[in-house]
Amino acid sequence: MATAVRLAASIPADNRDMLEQFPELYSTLRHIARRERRRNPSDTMNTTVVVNEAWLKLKHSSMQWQDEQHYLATAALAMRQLLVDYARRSAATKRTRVDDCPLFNNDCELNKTSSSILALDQALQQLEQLEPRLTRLVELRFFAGLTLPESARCLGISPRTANREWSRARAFIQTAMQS
Amino acid sequence: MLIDAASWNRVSKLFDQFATLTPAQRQQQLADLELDAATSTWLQKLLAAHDSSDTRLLDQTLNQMAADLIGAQHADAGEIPAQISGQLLGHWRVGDAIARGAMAAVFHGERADGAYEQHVAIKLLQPGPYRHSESEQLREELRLLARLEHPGIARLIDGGISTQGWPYLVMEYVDGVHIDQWCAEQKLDRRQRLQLLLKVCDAVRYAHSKLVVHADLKPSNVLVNRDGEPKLVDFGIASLLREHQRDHQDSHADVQTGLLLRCTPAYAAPEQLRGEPVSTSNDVFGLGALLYELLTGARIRDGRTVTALLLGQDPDASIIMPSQRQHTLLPAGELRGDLDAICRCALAADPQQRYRAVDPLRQDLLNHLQHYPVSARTPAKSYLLSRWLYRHRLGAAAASAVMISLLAGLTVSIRQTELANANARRAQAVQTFLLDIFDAADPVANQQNPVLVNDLLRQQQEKLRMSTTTEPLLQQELRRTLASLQNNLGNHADALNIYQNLLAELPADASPEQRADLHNLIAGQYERLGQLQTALEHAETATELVPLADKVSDTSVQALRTLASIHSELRDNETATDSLEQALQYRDAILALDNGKALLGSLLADLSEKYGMLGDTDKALTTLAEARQWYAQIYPEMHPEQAQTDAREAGIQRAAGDFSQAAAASLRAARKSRQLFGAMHTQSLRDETALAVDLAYLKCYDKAVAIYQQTVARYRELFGENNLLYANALLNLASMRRKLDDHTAALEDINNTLSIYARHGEQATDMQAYALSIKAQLLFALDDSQQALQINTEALDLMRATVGEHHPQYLRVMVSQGHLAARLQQWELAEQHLRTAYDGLLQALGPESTFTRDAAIKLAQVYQSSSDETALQALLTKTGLNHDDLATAQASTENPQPRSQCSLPEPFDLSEFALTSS
Repeated sequence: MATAVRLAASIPADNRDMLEQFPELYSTLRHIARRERRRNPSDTMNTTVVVNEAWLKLKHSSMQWQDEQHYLATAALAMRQLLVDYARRSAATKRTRVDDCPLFNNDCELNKTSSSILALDQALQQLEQLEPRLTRLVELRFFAGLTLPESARCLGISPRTANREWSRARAFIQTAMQS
Repeated sequence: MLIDAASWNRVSKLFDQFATLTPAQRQQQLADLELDAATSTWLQKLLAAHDSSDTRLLDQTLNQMAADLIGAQHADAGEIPAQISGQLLGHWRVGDAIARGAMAAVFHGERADGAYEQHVAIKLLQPGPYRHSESEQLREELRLLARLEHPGIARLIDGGISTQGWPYLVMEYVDGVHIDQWCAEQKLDRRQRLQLLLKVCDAVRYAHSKLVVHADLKPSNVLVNRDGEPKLVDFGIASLLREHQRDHQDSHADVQTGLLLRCTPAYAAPEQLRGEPVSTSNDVFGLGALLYELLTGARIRDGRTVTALLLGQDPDASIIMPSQRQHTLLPAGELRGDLDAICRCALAADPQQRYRAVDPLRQDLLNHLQHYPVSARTPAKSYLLSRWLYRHRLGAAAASAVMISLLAGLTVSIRQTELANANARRAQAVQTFLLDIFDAADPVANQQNPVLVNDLLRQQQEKLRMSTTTEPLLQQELRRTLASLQNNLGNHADALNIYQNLLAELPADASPEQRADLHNLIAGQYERLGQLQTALEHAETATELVPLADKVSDTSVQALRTLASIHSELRDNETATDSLEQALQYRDAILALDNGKALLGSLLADLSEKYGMLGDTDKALTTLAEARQWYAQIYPEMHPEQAQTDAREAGIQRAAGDFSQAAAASLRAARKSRQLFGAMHTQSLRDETALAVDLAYLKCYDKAVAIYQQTVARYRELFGENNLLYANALLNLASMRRKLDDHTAALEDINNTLSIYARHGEQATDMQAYALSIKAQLLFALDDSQQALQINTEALDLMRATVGEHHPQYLRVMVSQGHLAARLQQWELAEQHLRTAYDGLLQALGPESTFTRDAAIKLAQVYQSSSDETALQALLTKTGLNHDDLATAQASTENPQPRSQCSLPEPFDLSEFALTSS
């Protein structure tokens, strides 16, 4: 919690336009991601590029972002949301159980991916209750594709602390996803 | 496998310390620590995960996964293009864009088939996870929303899923501006702003009565048109989206992230942000947020708080009260006090502390505007559901809609309670159940064949009984609700039946409180059914289960009140007074309860009634005044409890013989009830009946008849012609007509009454007996003494069975019996009846009572007529009567006095109650 307070402290109070930022950001991220997929259907997708492009686009939009760090924290959450929504949708369309998958079946890969993302989301929800900052760290690093030092800067903690917390978060998530 | 925050704290410190060590070092250090099993297990698991060489999800990059997920959605509906003008959606043609947001776009639209001209707004939602099979389900929900027809709500006209997969909604087009913008443009002052908001409250309240929650109230969803009338848009859309989303979650409960997109974090209630199911309480919060913004010009949460919310942080962060803000639209002096308190109560983080529904919020705004005290300034406390129901058993005014409003109040409250328990499945079940009632009761749908409340409730009761799917706890709650409805409608046998079953089904390990509560409710029903001995047993059981001396609680106080009331019915006002006075010794403990002031007020009010019956009018009125003082602290003047207090005052004055004062108090009670509940409510009808009784005492029979005629008509409209309350009203009318010597009409009413009672069997025996005795009087007046005697005998037999041979009422009917026999010159029979009646009355009421005296005179007349001088002399000696008394009595029977004049105190305006004069 301390992090968010510190993070929030850098933002001037009563900026009304900020309130609508999340949906807009979500929408922008999705737009860019889908465009990327259409452009390079056979390639993998660089989510960091997506996040950065959204920043460039939004920086000059009517919405005022206080700073890039605030943007990144929100974008990481939006990215998590975006992928969870996609995973949920694909889980809803294809309900084949992972174990039933024959080899080399793309649908099964997809199902594994979506169930992994959904399981991760659930583990993050558990972690949120215990240590919210670790959740933020995972979002920044995994979903927004930031490096560890970048994530540390965004959260206002030392790289050493970030490193220790990353180990802890990773071990927790691994444990929670196995159970 | 779950771990709590405290254990996590321990484990995480140890993990940091151990993670960098070698296995050998770990072993050694671990041995030195004495860890509990859970901590040790977790630590081992975390370390194992840390050491594992398996590929961890978090070590991969998201890139491939993102590509898989996003690329896979070929079949997924595309985004809404910027220009879709001219496209067809169902019957509608899309026009120019009105607004675009991230999640939806709104367009002008018109009827495509030209069937009629209609300008609409079409809202296209970003494609959600809808599949074709679900479109029917969506339509179902849209139908629910389309039921909302209110001038303050933009109507939903149509909707569905387009062939492209876009869910769309067709809504009434509102040409207006956002409410905050309107207030600013028109430079509205505080009163005008509050009045505007009151209209919004009305619309929301209406929607709640139709089981629809807005869930996303904010200035941009309240448009004000050129006439200054506010209209809510997007009603229920937020929850509609959420419902569907939830369906797709399977086991993956989504706590925060999904919600952020469905409501507006700046305005959403904390529990909404936590992902709890939507409830009416969300809208109370939303209205609070609107109020706040209209008063201060600022949102309840500033940017930094919202950022914290977006990051999943504490949504309970406290809200700065309007008067404490540095810049507000209105002077801080206008905001301090009432408006701060109203905002605080509406915006309470805990729904339990919030206004329980829109209505109390609306009432407080009204109270503030009218300079009444607002309830928010005394802290809101949690009440049991039953107490809540008690206060909200009451509906609105519309005649044919009375049962709808009765049910609606309940519906919303139950749904809310269920939702407050975060039990979405139960809430769903309740909603379905109650919607069934709605459909059956809808007066518009059933115009041809209106359903009566009673039939409806019995149907539901049966349905509930047969249902095996409903959860036991929920079943019980619903049955209690039905019972409380039945009670309010006067169907005590039905209510009793439900409570008895609930008691029988109570598990062995139920708490004494639960048990006592049901015994208390059962006692109350027996009391109302006139089976006082049985009532007494249950009330005693209840008080023994939860003795006040052991623990002062709502249940123990209520049980004692019931017991006292039954004692009083059994004409033992001394015992009743004693126990109430004893209860008052726990005054401090009672006041410490959540509803302490209300309870104490009721105890005092009960006690005042008993003092009144014991003839101590002064003490009664002082005590009642004390009760009023407590009530004044918690209730506004226009409150059911205040109306009841006026009715009690009338009772005290009536017992004291001051009928002018009684009538004045009855009039106050009747006025309040009518304003609170509307004319078509049983409470209003009861109070008007009491008013008529007082008018009759004042000999204003024609006015009483006029009132009774109205109550009779209303009961018939409400409950049909086979209802006990209707029969009782008819009986009142008959006895009043008798006073006006309108014997034929009275007899007709009585016969109707009796045939209704006959259909109700035992339940109506006491009333039947009373009606029979009046019928005998009427027949006597119509010179059919033979039949009169026969009918009176029936009355006597019934009364013996119900009230017993020593009850004054029985003895008075026996006096009539003797009198009738004397009229038929059956001297022996007459003597026998009058002698027994006289002895009984002497014992029950003493020699001074007019009834005893009346019996004595009639008996003496019989001795005179049958020339039994010895017996006559003995009687005259015993009673102190003389021959002159007998002569006077004789004269007044032979030449009845002209009817006395109505002595109504001036000014006494009855115009609102007795519109039609007979």
